[in-house]
Amino acid sequence: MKKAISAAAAFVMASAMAATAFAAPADEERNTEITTQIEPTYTIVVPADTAVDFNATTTDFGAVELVAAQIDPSFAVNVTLDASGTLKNSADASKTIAYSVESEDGKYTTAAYHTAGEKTDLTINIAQSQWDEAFAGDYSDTVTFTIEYAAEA
Amino acid sequence: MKKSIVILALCIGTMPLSIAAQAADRQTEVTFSADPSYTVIIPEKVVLQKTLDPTGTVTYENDEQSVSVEKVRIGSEESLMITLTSDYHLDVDGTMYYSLPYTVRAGDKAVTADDDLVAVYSTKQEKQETPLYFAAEDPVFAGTYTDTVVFNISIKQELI
Repeated sequence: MKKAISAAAAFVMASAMAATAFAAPADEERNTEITTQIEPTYTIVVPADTAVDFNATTTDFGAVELVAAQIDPSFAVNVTLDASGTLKNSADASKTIAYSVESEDGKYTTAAYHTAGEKTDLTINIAQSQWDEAFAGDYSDTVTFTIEYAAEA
Repeated sequence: MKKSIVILALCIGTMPLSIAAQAADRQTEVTFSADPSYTVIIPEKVVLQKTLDPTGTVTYENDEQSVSVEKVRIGSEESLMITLTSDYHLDVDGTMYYSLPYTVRAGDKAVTADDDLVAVYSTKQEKQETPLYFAAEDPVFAGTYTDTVVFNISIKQELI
């Protein structure tokens, strides 16, 4: 009988120690990363072919417009205009009429666009003196708009 | 005759001892401690994918993740609670002035800064799972957007 009592006492002590050693676990935290990658996209519109009326000193040339854009922060869509500045006679290229492409800020050469809706209205300007001195005939020139997506300095 | 007397005397002598032994009250306490235990599985990474709905609206979503638990063994009056800590904004590389808000849903329940509860579980050996849904609108800027959320796991001393 003594042996049995001793065993029971030992069992209770062991149980009490176990309960102390394995208390409820502390609060835990686990991290999860949320991510997404969005590729840059944009749509830019440049002026179409435009006919200039005789003697018109200012002709609407449409606009350069960023109509849709999802670009990286600190990036821009840069548009650069390359124009010779002279309309050439189709029969004799040595006969020219000087012109310029201008925005409200003056001669248009380059501009940076960032958000959809940004645009620059353009005009083709020919001085009256150029008209006055021009030979008869058809004149034309081709301008090039270069579009570049780049980080801003 | 002498032999019989001896036997009787022995019987008498042992009887009080037997009676004393039957009257004694002895109790044995049997205890067992089952430690709280559980396995919680949360997403390591959630990648939002571009989604285009029939109206042409672009969103970025992920509905393929879940939080689950299994082999949950807690007290009968306890709950295993999982909450979420987040600022609910994805930061984009290269700028500090723009971030993309996003939403989190756990099952049919919106998880927000004001109501951060994701799920509550009770004791059950089988797997218990709560689907997660992350969504963001189409951002202004391109780029890599990231955020880190924290899942908090705790045992509450009450049934929730």
